Amino acid sequence: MTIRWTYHSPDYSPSIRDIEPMMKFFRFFFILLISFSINYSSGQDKDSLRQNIKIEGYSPLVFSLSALYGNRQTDQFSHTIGFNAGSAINSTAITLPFSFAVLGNNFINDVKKNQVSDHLLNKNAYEFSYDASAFCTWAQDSFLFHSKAVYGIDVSTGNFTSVRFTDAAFNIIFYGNSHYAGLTADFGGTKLYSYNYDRIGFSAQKKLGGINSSLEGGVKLSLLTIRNGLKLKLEHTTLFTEQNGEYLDAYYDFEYNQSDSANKGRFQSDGAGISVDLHCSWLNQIQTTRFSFYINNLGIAAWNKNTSTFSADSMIRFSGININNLLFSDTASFIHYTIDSLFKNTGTSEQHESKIFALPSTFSFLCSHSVSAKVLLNAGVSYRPYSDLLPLVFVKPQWILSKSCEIGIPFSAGGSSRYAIGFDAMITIKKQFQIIAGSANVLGILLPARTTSSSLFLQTSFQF
Amino acid sequence: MHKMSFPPLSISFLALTILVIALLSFSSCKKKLASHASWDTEVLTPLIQTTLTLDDLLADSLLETNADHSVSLVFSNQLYHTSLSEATFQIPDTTIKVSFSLETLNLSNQTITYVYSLGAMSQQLGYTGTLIILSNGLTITLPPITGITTPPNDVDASQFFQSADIESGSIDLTLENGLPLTMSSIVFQIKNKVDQQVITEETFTNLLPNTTQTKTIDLSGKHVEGTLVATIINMDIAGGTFTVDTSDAITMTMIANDIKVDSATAIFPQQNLIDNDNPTTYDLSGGAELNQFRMKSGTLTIIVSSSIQQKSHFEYLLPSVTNASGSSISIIQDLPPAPSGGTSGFTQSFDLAGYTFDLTGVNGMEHNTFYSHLIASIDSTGELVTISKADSIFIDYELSNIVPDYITGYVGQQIVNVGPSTTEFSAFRSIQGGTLALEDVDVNLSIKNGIGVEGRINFYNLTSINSSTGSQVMLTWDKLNQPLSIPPATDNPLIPSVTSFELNNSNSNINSLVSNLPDQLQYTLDIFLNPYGNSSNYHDFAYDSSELEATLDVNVPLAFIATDLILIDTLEFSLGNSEPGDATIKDGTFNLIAYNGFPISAAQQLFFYDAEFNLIDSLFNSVQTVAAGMLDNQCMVSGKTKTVLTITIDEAKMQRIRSAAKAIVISKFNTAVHPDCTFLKIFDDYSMDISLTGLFTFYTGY
Repeated sequence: MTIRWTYHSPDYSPSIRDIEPMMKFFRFFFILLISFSINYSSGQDKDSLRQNIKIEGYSPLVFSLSALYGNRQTDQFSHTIGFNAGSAINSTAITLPFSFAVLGNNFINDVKKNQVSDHLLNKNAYEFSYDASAFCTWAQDSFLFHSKAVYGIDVSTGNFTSVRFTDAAFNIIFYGNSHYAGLTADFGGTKLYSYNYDRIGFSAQKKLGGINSSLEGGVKLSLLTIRNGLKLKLEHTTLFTEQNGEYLDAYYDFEYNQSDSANKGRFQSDGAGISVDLHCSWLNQIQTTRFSFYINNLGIAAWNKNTSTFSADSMIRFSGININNLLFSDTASFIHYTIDSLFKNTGTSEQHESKIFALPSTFSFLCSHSVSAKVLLNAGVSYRPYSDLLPLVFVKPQWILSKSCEIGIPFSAGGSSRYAIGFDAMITIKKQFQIIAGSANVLGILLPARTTSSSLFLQTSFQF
Repeated sequence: MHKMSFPPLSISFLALTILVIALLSFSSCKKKLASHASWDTEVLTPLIQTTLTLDDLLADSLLETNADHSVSLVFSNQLYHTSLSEATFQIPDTTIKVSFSLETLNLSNQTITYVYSLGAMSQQLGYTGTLIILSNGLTITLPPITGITTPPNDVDASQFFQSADIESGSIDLTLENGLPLTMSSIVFQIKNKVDQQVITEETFTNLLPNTTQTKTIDLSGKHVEGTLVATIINMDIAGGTFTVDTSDAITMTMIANDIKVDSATAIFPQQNLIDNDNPTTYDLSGGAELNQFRMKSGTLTIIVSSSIQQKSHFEYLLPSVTNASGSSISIIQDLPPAPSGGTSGFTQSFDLAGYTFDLTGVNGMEHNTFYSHLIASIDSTGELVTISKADSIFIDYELSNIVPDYITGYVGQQIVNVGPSTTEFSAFRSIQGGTLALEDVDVNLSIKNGIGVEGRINFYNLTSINSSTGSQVMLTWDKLNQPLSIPPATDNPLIPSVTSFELNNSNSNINSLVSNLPDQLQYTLDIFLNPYGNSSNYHDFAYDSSELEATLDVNVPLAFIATDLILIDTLEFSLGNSEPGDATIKDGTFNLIAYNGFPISAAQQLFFYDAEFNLIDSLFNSVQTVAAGMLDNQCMVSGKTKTVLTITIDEAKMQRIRSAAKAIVISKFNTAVHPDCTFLKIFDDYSMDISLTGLFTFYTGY
């Protein structure tokens, strides 16, 4: 077995230098992009330059790097119905083959582990999520407001799984502790948050101060149920393996929550929550630049009283299971070391009570600028405090190839991934049918073993 | 004391290695479909730890700590054992047949009256008779008439019996003269109608009018038929004047008195046919004369048959057999009529558990004898039946599966010869080679007598046999071939007598006997019960739980020299089967780290075999030895010695071990060597710390 594993000394802390290669990559493409855009624009005449594409319509209420085409929505139609589906895998270290093996319940061989090991940082992130929704929006002059606003209702179902882990945690779990003989493995900061949800939301967006106002605001209130919830948080947790394995010293401070495990079935509800999405944007007078600010999924979920909470803040030296009477012990009792005895020996307490957890919120800032009549440049930063190691910095130029076809190439770095180059497109058919499809990272097609994120997004809508 | 199976360090290592191998059989629940991703991971971890002391190696009951904290091994090995039910006293299944003949057979005292009227008489007197008949109502004078005879007249008694062979008894024959004339002489004859046998012929004289005369007729030995013929052979009438009334008559009355018959076809009156006590005597071996035995278990089956052709009442009592509440066994039942020439009967069984047999007979002075009381009776049915004194009631007593719980009396003189017999000596059973020199051995031959009978035991031979080496050591002891008295146990409460005889180095070669590391002991002895006869005056006793046993109580101070002492144990072995997807250890290296504080080194190996005992593999790639603890000048362990035994198991080896069905553990022990030491004592604070660590590839399973 060929093992390449990464070990960082305990005093090593994560920083921007962890993604230095990404940043270089990102700078290279950003410069390339700007050059390309400028060159593309310089080919236009002055009139054309003055006729930069105007940013119109309402922004999407929820920030999504793959769905920044909302600027093309106009007031021509008052109703929209559609479907969204998307899934994403993001990690700073976990490569796609490894992720697919985990998600597909396959065997993880050493090759896959080594690919991950090459990318391990002191702190690492992994995220897997999917979401499917149906939505409708309509414009109404007087409903909640006395002036025109866009209202929307959507229902969705999905999963959110986010893991933050140390390199030691990965190595111990997937390589074993034998390589830490005489060393201390640090698990501190490792955490997990996973749940499935069903959500229904109601939104309203409105130009603030009049139909031609440069300010736009929106809010969506969602109610959700959660199931299969898991939450783990390891604080100051280390494992020392004696050189010859004669003992293990473990220091641990953890809390592990599991939502109602007895509650099974697709329509189970282990808890309920509420969230709000907020958005505001400012568009300049000539409608060439818009600044948008998003707060998405800000809320809480209350897991019901059957939630199990296991926690401990203790230390233990394990020198083997103590056999008091070797002659008369039966092997069965030795092997079947019970959960109860494990809890007792590790000082782990178990409680059953309801728990309230914050939902993983996202804070985003987006600047969209019309570079020319054919090019729109989006750039910004997005940050999810729970999942992201660093804020996600992105640039996404969009080219309007025709009235019915636009494409975008998002470049991003940070977040819960390292760097990504995506591709997406919007096709409009007969002005009413709209299809948006894309991926935030297509590098996996070319370099799967070196790629740690991938996503797929599809939206179909009909305006009338 | 306990039986001892010597379980020294080898067994501990055996247990440890089993744990190691069991670890390799980590298996989760069986899964058909992958439920999560799987991978291999290399784990380095301690698995188990323990500290072995003598208490862990040997049961507390086998250890005895001496004043200097050295330890002795104490154990018992039973040499001979017998109990009341096994050998000393047994009651075989017994069937006792008893027949009860009818004691008396009575006929009822019946009365038969025969009236012979003047008219009837006149019809048989010819002309004179005609004249008398014609004169009816007239007063006539009749001259004396002689030689009157009458033809035979039937006297019908068949409503009482048809025939009877009279054993004894009589009838009173009474003639009453109802005529107005004096009968000067009457000769009266009665005979059977069929065989014409004359029952009696009596002469009555001078029988005045309206007077009676009676004669008693002895019927003993006579056969009497139900229809008799009465004949007046001669009658003389004195003459006289009288008024003729043809209804006047001579009346003959026969009254039966206390008729006992040998047999009869008759209507029998209600009567007891049998009513007596009947003793039943056991014939017990060895001249035993018991007064009592209480049943632990057993069955009494009573089979009753009868040839009496009339329904009879059967009442059977066993006053000698009572339970704790004093109730005795009894049977009260009707016997149906036996068919002609056959028998009728019934069978009834009794669970004798808890019953006590009083064997002192009816008068309380006998032995081995219990008695029964039988009453057989018939009712008067009004029907004619044939009953003979030859008829009998037959009773079979079947005593089966008798297990006495307690006996008293005199059990007789019995000599039990035992041997040459062989008994297992388990203490060194696992030792298959090498030598063990013991500094000292103390053995007590303990004879425990739980039977209330004085005895004598005589040992002729005791030989230790080491089957592995073929070595035999015969005991030399000054008490061999000498009768050793065994006092009886005492009763209420039962206290066995215990007699001990010490065997030591001064009076025997017991050390050599034990150091031979025997796995068998061969012995020859005899036991003589009641060697002086009935010295207890019928106060011998024994309980079912009473035992007579000879035991060797061995005390071995753990001060010895072991040289290549090889212990071998065979055991069944199975790790079970694993299925694809089960979490398992695929391969690895396990280190058994021993800190040995015993002055003994131990070389270990474990061999695996299939069910046909074909060698599959061994646990260690080569024999590895746990070094002995370090000795000081006082021949005591001054420090523990660390030894690491490494067990390397690859996937192929793991599979081979999984297929094993049997395992043999072989351990070789040597005591530590020190120039100042010979025999090494084991002290109670000696211990060995053992930990097991593993560096292995763990497959997480799915």
